[in-house]
Formats: sequence, structure tokens, C-alpha cells
Amino acid sequence: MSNTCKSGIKIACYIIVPILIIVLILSIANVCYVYAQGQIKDNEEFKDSQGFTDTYENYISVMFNRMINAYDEDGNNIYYGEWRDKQEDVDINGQKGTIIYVTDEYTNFNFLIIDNNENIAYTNLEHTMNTDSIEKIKESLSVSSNNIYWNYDAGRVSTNISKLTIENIKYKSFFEEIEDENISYFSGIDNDLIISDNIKLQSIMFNISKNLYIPSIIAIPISSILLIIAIVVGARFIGLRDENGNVILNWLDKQALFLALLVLSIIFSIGAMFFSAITSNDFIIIFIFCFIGAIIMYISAVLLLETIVKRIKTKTLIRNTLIYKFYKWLKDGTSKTLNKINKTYKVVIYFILFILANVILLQFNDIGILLMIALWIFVIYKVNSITIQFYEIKDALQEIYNGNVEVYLNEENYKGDLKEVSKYVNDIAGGFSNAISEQLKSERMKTELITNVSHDIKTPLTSIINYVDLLEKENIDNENIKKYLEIIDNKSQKLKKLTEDLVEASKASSGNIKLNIERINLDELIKQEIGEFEDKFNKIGLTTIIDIKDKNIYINADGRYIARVLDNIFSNISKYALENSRVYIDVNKENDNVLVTFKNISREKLNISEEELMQRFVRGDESRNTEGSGLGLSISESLTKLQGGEFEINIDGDLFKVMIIFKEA
Amino acid sequence: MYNILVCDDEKEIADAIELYLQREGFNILKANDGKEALDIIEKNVIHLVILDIMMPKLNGIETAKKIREDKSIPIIILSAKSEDYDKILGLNIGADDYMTKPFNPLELVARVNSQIRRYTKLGAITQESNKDKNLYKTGGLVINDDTKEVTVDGESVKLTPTEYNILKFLTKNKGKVYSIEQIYENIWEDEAYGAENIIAVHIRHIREKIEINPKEPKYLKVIWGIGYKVENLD
Repeated sequence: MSNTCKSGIKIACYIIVPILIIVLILSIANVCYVYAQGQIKDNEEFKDSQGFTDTYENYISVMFNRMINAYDEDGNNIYYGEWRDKQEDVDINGQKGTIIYVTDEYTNFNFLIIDNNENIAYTNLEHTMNTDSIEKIKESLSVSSNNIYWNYDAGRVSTNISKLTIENIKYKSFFEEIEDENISYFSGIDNDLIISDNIKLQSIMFNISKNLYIPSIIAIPISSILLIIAIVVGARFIGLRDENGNVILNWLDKQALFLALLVLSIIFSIGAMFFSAITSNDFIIIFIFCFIGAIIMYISAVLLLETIVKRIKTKTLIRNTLIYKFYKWLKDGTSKTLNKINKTYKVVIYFILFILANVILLQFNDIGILLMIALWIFVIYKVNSITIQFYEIKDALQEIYNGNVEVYLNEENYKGDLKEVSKYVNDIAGGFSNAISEQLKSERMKTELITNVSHDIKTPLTSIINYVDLLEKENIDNENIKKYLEIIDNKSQKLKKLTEDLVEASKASSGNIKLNIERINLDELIKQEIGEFEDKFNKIGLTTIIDIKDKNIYINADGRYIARVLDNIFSNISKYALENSRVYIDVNKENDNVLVTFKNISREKLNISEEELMQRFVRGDESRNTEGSGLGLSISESLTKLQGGEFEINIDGDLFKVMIIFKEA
Repeated sequence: MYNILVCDDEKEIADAIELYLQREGFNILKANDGKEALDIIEKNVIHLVILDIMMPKLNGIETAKKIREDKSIPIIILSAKSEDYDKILGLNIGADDYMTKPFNPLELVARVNSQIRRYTKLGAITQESNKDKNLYKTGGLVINDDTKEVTVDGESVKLTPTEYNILKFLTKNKGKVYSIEQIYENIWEDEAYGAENIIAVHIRHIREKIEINPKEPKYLKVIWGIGYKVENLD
């Protein structure tokens, strides 16, 4: 649905709502009125209604009281003194009397009251006494009252109002008074109800009520439901959003709340002014003024509702107030100024402000001291929390430095600059963590690939090795064939070793190995390993010189893999060490660390750096043609690192030194 | 004459194994996959099976499981898969031994011989041994302290007196781990002065004599950085 359509519906709702409210109120009023009247029978006429009866009776008594009883001490009628237009002589009951013509309020109710004792008659009928007599007045009264009349004469009531017969009259006391005063009362109403008075209004109301009773009973629930729907639909379409989802704001909505309220109250007052400006009595003018005033007030109320709803929707109800804007301006201004000042001075300024606050507070007595204590608590709390935050960040950085990249700081816990710092720490840790997991993943895939390829290489290699072996066992006279076979045998064995080492190297370097860490006795381990190599060493005249000061040095490692490391080192020594030289093995403690050093003299010149030597597939240049895959040192290094140790190589001329460093357990 | 079934999808490898084992006097039957192997076992009396793992139709692991459903003949798995995981899996589903390719023909022959001896002869010796108190044994390793004789799967092994003492001590206390120092003190009943370095060398020599593959010992194991032990295989 387009926004134009929505606002159309909304405006329609705004128009419908007051109409429905009016309909609802009128319907309820009508129903109440009908109930107050007593149930209106279908064919009942106005003159028989309770309402009319009450009004008529009221008229009778009021007029009577005004004419007969309402005289002050001077004999002047309180009510009609000014309106006694005519006072004429007249013949009453054959005696000389007075008739007083009362230009009463404009009413359909006509009367002729005759005080038989005083010989005074009162009437509000226009007449000319010259020509008319009392009888004439009576006559015209009955002519004009061609339908409704109520007369009291000589103790008898004659009327065609069913509820005003002598038995039904409510004001008994008044009635007795009439009797006591010896009064004849003639009254009637012109059935056409020419004059717009109370009775006329009542008669209209009566007829409307009578005709609209059923419709208004139906209208109550219908208009209520429609009202709710209109309000709900209208409210839904307040604060429409544009394509970007932003609430569309008009000029009023953008103003500060105070200004908006001011504008709206001015509009509202203009509406109210229409009510107070009514001076005319003319019903039409009154209606027009009220109508315009009501509409203006209504519009201002609707605008108020709209702007408040929109402000809530855009969360600007508070933010768009003058007080808030002032606060913001003050805050921004302060922080901008503070930012311009060098950060070092910022602390100084805070400190000076603090001191100043203290000095000022000291000028006040008890409350000042109390406030100062509060200030101190606040400052200590602040400093403390900043210190805590600082150390948390420091710890996190230390963790990252130590290689634990699974660090996360909750940025919400930090304030100001430290919040920014915590964000950077998280970003750095996240970046490291991602890079590491990516690398691990690719290493693992590489290992899998190498493992699978190695299976495929091993199968044909098995055949090669076996058939070479079988060939060698045949009776061969040709020395050349024997020599060639030996070469094939050597190379295929080398290929076998290479395949195995390749898998191991890739596993070790990717950390794809399950470790079983135990407390390992270094003395025992070295002796065991030497036991394994003793014969090989003896063959080339190597003497081992072991220097272990303490037999009870332990490290935490996986026995199998640490043995594998030593195995590689000893294997290297047995392959590359100078014949008839010495091999030194030292175990030293240095603080918490255990250092194991292996030293030997290289047979060939070592014209290669330590770094290169450690790289996979690199061996000392001159020894390229010996057995071995060249992966030994690389595997040893990876395995040592996996177990939490360090592996170092040092070349000093022909002295080849390997060092393993572990934490003492 | 014992019948050995060699099951490998690589025909040349099966042929080579046949050549090696025929020389030892075994009768060889060959299968190219697990299904074929099960057929042959069904129809013939087989004394030992050599199984590859990666084979079409039915792989070695499944085949071994099927064989174990109703047969207790020795199974040696011979595979290019050399991961610990594969070895453990193979031995757990009922294989008696696990060898990796490329293999040493001599080692294969030795293992086949060992398994055949255990399968066919050793039952009787076990019965006998219970009566003799001076007999120490674990698995196929038997030490007769009366005759000072050591046999592995019935095959006699020659050890020096020191080697004999070390092996006897460890076999007597099989399953327990002893450090070099402890072994020295127990055998020489003396304080160790550093001369005990030689123990490690002796132990390697013993391994070379009693084990088929000294680098993957079955009886006398190295617990690196802790000591040595004779595995309790009973």
C-alpha cells in the first residue's frame, strides 16, 4: 500500500472518529432519554408522554406561583413587575376587577388565572379588553389550545392530558393552594407549537427519540466497533516510513518538543477563542462558531498525538527536547575542548577540577563535607575501575603475546578510550585466530593428501623391493648385474624411508599427532637411547661422553616422540660424525629449564646455515649422497615444539651442536 | 604341510609372497579380494591368512571380521596403511599380527612361522608348564630356569648369562616397568655406579635375539624415559 493511500486512510479515520464519537454519544443519550421517559409506546403521542406531562405541570405551578404568590411586601410581583404591560379593568364574575397582561417569556403555554377573591385575572394571551371580555379570553384560549388544555374551575379539573387528571397530579400542595385561594385556572397549548420553546424542543426530542430509538440501539455497538477500528487503523498509520524505513517527519516533528507544544497550544487556543467569541443568540451562528472551534481544537489534538507517536517511533521524544539539546551542546562543547587539549593535560585538568571542587565544597559546612566524601568515593571508584579495566586489557594482550589468540574482551565493560582499545585487542585476536585456524586447516589437508599419496606409492614400492630381493637371490654370474641390483635396492630402500618420513614430517609440522604426555626421566631416556645406538657408534669408533649432574631430572613429554627426537639426533650423529671422534651429551638445568646438548664433529665441511639445515629436505651439502631423507631434523624440531620444547641447532666450524630445551617437570 | 592363504589385489605382491613362503615349505593359495578369500577358506583347510586391507569388493577389515565369526586361524594383516589407528583397528577386530608395506621378506617369513607354531604346537607346552615351578613365560616366550633355556614360539634362543638374568628378572615380574638402575640393583644386588649403562645395550641385544622386529618389540618393550618391561601376554 502506498504512503499516499495510507495517509488517505489515516485522514479518513481522523474525520470519522469524531463523527462516530458524536453518533455514539447521541445514541447513548437517546437511549438514556427514552429510558428516563419510561418506555415509549409505539402509538403514544407527545401530549401523553411523561416528559410532556411533567413539563406542563411544571408550567402550571410555576405560572401560578409567579402570578399569585410572588409578591413582595409592597405588593409588587417579583417576576413580572417589569412586564406588566397592561392593566385594565374587566368584568370578573359580574364584578369590577382587573386583568393583568403578562408578556411572559416566549412560550407556547398560554394561561388565564383568575383570582376570584381579589377579582384579579392574569393572562399572557394578547387581547384587547375594549372588545374582549374574560369569556373572550377563555374562548380564544380554548381555540388556540385546540388540542391540549388543562382547566381548573369550581373545584373541577377538565383536561385532555391523560396524566394530569385530578388523581394524577403530583403537586398536591399546589393544587390545594389553588383551591384555598379560590382560583380558576385555564391553560392550554397550541397544538402546532408555533413558538420555539422548551415544549417545542421537547416535542422534537420526543419525536426523534421515538423514531430513532431502535436505530440508536443498533448504532451503539456498531459505532463503538467502527470507532475502535478507526482508532486502531488510524494509529497504525501514524508515523509512516519511506522506502528506506525512515519515519517521514513534517516540520512540526523536527522542532524541539517545547516549540511543537507551544505551536499546538496556540492553535488550540485559537479554537477555544471561537467558543468565547460567541455573542449572538442565533442558534445557527452559535453552531457555526462551535463547529469551527471544535474542529480547530480537534486538529491540534490530532497533531499532538501524531507528533508524539512519531517522536516515540524515532526515539526523539527525549532527545528532541530543548533541555536535552542544551545538555548535548554543553557536553559536546566540553569534550571537544577537552579533546583539543593534549591528553596529558587532560589528566592534569581533571585533577585541578577535582581539587577545585574540594576547595569549593569545603566552604560549605556539613553538606559540603558530605558531598566531598561522596566525590572522593566516586573518584576512587572511577580510578579503581579504570585501573581494573587497564589490567584486564594488559592481561589479554599478554595472552595474545603468549600465543593464546582465543581472547575476547567484552567491549561493553569498558569506557572511553579503553573501550576503543578493547575493540582493537579483539580485532587483533580475531585476526590471529582466523589466520591460525586457516593455516591449521590447510596443513591438515596437506597431511591427508600426503598420507593418501604415500599409500599409493607404497604398493608398487613393495613389489619393487621384493622382486629386487628375489632377483638378488638368483644365481647371477655377471658382476655388473649384481652391482646394478644393489643400486636399485639402495634407492628403493631410500624411497621407502623417504615416504615414511614425509608422512611423519607433515604430521609433526601440522600438529596432527595425539600426544600422551608423561613425566620422563632424562637420565633414563638418554641411557636407553645410547643403548640403542651403542653398537652403531662403536662401529665408527665414536665415544659418548655423558655429563648428567642430577639423575632426577624430569620433563613432561610423550616418551615415544621424545625418543623419536633423540633417535633422529643419534641417527644423524651416526651418519655424519667424524670417525673415531667423541660425542658429548650434557644435561644442564637453567632456572626452570632443562637443556640437553649434543655435540659432535662433522665428517664433512658444513657450509650451510643453521636455518637452511633445519628446512625440510636440506642436508649438509657434501653429505647429499648418503642415506636418509633430509627430513630428520625438521621432524625432530616439529615434534619437540609439539611437546612444548625448543629445538636449536648451532654450527661452529666443524662442531655440530643440537640443543633441546624443556621446562623442568 | 600347512596351507597359507595370501589375499592381495596386487597380483605381483601375492606372487612374491608365494615365492618366499614356498621356500619355507608352505602350500600357498591366492585370492584377489576378500570375497574370494572367504570362498577359499570355506572350501579348503587353511592354517594361516595374510590379508591386505585396501581391496575391492570386500576389504581386509571386513574379511577378517567374517573369518573371525567361525574360525580361529591366525590372520596377519599386511597393508600399506601404517597409521597407529589402522594397526589398532586391525588388531582389535581379531588379526593376530599387523605388518606394513613395503615389508622385509625375512620378517614376514619369521612372523608366519611364529604364528603357525603358536597355532599348531604351543597348546601342549602350556599344559606342561603349569606343573613346573621354574618356568617363566609370557605369550610365546618361555624361560626354563632349570635348564636355563629360553624359547620363543618353541624356537630356542641363545642368550649370554647377563642377558638371561635380565630377561628372567623382567619375565618373572612381567607387566611391571623397571628402570635401568632398578634392573641393575636387582640382578647384581649392588648399588649402581654408572656401570649400569651397559644394561640398555644388553636389552637391545636381547631384543634382537627374541624379537622378530627389534624396532617393534612384542615381548621386551622400551618405555622411553621410564624403563623397560616384559609385556604380560597371558
